Amino acid sequence: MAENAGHLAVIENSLDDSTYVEIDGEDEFSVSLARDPIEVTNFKDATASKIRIMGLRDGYCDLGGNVVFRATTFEIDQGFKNLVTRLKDGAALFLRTKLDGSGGTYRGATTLGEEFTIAAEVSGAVTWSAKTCLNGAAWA
Amino acid sequence: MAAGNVAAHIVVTIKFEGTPTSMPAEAMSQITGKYYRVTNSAKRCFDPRVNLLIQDNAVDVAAADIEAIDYLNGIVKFAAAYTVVGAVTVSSGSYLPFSSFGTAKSFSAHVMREKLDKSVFGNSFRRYILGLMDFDGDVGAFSDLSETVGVEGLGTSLNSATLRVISIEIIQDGSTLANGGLVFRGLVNLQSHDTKADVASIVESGIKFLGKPQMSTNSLASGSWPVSWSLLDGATGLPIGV
Repeated sequence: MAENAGHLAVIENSLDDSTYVEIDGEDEFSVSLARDPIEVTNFKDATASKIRIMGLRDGYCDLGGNVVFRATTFEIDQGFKNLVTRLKDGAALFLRTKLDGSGGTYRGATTLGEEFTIAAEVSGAVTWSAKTCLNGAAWA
Repeated sequence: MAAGNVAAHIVVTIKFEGTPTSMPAEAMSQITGKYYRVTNSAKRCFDPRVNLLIQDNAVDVAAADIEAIDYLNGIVKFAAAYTVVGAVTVSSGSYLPFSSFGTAKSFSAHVMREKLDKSVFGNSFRRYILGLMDFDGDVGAFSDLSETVGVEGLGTSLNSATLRVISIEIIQDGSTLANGGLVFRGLVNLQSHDTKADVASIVESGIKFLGKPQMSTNSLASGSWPVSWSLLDGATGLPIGV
């Protein structure tokens, strides 16, 4: 977030790709996109170099933050619940972001929840982290 | 962070289950819809090794009328077609009381699912389905934990591979679980126990635990939720994702 030092990022998730919510306390997000490099170098190649084609596209998103309860009601918010819900039922979790804040357009993808961790040290915050994988769509 | 939220002090309490205690006639109350839980909050963990019988208006409820049992949180979900007619009670079963783990200073609970690649010719992106679920975690503490907590010391549990139940309560300072908060509970086996001492520092100890599937012998267990962990939302009284 060095380029957007105001920490304006909007990171939302949804169970139905319709109603999107942020996660209270979220302070980390990353998305990684890649393609599988497939080596096809053969005996007749005269380049003396490895030859590759680029295979299937793939990607994952990592999210993390502090556990935050809502004021007065002390409830945990829906965005947090969505992460746990989708890890349990294995259905699609929709993510979208505006990493530059309110401007621009959303980028996002359909993901599946792979991991969820909740942890704490006595002298620190109670934190959560989640890992999701993109499932059949580019981050766009 | 959304407006209206506070980043105030959060209290964590780590507990393990203690001596199983018989529950011959225990009142249950409705959470919402078909979900009922043990009214007494101290008794909201069924022992999965003991047969459980539920009565409605003093009549046994048939297994077919119970859609699921959440042993970890003492919750029963009746089948959609079943209508409760009177007072719901546990007429036979056991609960597991919990004892605090007073010297704990850190924890982590990590839930994961295997990612199975189902990409086929014609796909340009990898496609996945989620496979088996698993969880593990650890607890760090001051002092030697080997003989600490519950009906059986943690050291003994490691030696005997006994089923244990861990409960990690996360509550906003000044609140109560009934008003909100999170409770992670899991059926576990202890995987390791490490203790270290140094002449210039406090004795430190840590345990690692592994999730253990819920394999009850209960006649009502066939429809039970298959997962052996839950993250309970105190505000709703139900595990997240139910």
